[in-house]
Amino acid sequence: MTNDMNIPFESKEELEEIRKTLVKEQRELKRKKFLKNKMSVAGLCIVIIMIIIAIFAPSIATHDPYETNVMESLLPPSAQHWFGTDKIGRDVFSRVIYGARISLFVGVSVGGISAVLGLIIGLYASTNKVLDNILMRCCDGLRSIPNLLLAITLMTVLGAALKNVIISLAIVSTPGVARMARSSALVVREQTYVEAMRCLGAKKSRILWKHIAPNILAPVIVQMTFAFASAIIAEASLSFLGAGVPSGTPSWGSMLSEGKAVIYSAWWMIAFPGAFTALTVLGLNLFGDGLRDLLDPLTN
Amino acid sequence: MKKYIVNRILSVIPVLIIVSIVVFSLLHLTPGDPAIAILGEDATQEAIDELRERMGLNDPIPVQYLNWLNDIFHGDFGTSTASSGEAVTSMIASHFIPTLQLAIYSTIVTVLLAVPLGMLAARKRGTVVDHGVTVLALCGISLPSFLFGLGMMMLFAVKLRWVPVSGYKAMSAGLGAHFRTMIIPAVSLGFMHSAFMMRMTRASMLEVLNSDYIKMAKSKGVKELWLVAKHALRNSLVTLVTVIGQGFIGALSGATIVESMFGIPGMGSLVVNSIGRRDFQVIQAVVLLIAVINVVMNLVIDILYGIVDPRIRLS
Repeated sequence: MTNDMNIPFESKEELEEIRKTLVKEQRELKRKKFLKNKMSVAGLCIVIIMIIIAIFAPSIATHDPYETNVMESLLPPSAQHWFGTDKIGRDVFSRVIYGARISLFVGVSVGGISAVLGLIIGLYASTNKVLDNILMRCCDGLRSIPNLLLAITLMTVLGAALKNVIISLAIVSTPGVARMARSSALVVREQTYVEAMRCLGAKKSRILWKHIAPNILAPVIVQMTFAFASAIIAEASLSFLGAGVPSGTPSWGSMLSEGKAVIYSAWWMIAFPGAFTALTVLGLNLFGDGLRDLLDPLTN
Repeated sequence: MKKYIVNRILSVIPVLIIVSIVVFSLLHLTPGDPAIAILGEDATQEAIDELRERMGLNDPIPVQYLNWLNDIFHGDFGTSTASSGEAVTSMIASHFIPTLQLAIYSTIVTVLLAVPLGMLAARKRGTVVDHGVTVLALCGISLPSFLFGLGMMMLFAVKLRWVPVSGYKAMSAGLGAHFRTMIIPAVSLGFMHSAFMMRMTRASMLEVLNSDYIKMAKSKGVKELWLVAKHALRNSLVTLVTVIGQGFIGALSGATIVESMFGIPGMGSLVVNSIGRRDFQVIQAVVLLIAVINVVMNLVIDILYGIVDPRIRLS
């Protein structure tokens, strides 16, 4: 039997060509399917708008978010101050715009860090029973402390700083991603192609990183969007409680907390930062739901 | 059954040990000397030495851990390092009741919202009702609990003036006054949690309604009411147990922010007030206690699963 009978193609190049077209077609199909889901497209749009606001904050903001003016304390929304002013006369619109920077920066960093750490922990947990037990018990232990409480404690210990908010929230959200990555890895490692690689004598680390990791990326990415969303909520909650970013920093949570103190007289101080927080999280959740339906149909 | 329960209990022990190690090491994560962190940069050397001695910080860390654990088993969580110098155990005891009350009320809200709405959405699958419930659930998941609470506060306390903005009245001050202060916090907390639970109830109800034995019973001509009562209900019990248990755990955990927002003197407020005072002993104790309650509640839920559903206990 000649090789030509098994592979009825002219050359390796042609085979590669066909593979590429297939991958491209599949991508096209997925893109179409995603665009059909109006809710997740709307979610994606919200997220993109927020990212644009965050990046171009200095040109969008109408005032300096730190500039105080006691003469203009607690003014209602007007043409001069679109979202009104706060107790020490700072422009709420500019602070909300700059707040998007803090929120999204925390969200992206926490999502990214916990996805990478979770992926590594999950992958290695799936390789070895003893390691699995140790790592998963640690994750269980961390997960049994309520998220916000753990974050508050870490913040008290580490001190108020943006960097520490990110560290605390990454510690809080990594175990969830790790658990997800582990259970997906356990399914993938039983697949025939992984078994085939093992039989061919591929190195363990090669199997782990070149064959298992790419195949559990989808659920990890989905989990990452949810970690992103909950990090935004958590940052707002921490700052609301005064355990987040240093006071004075324009963060949605601390603005809400300042707004609560003047709840009887200044509705705008709660309404605007509140709406931005809720909208961003809603956008991320909608996008995440769509992504999950697309990448990971089994979990739904 | 016995074997199942024993296995479940044994599986919890390592988690509890890890929790205690995590909580213990939190204090040692402080950059530099924990005693300086507590007393502040300008503390005298004598005060620092005295605190180090009193907290046993001069011992090796494993010894400190075992001493700490030993004290806890004797109900001693140390003394508050803030000026009052009160025993942490008695501080927790006096803050426990409001948290427990809030957790119970908000669990009731969760169950009352999530179960009927979830079941309704499942029965009317694909209709406007179903979509409405789904959107409501999504809003509940996306709104941070304190934001929803602030909204409720603005509406009911500031605009309508039905309830006070914040404050707490014990039950002894009269039931009416007590519930007036608790209703908004309980609803804010319960609503947030019911979002997840609604989705869960809907999914599990759909699963039960689509199962072969329900179809079989239907085709046999079993009456609708009997069908739900006899066949569907028992199989949905697992969900109900989860809704109640998780609702309660969620309420305990989420209480931190809602309590401090509405001025309820519970354990959450205790923690938040301790942040500013850098009162590590109190924070450590509350975190440990809530984590242990969390683990134990999950254990109870697991055991209840085994009781209501033999399939789980035998698998």
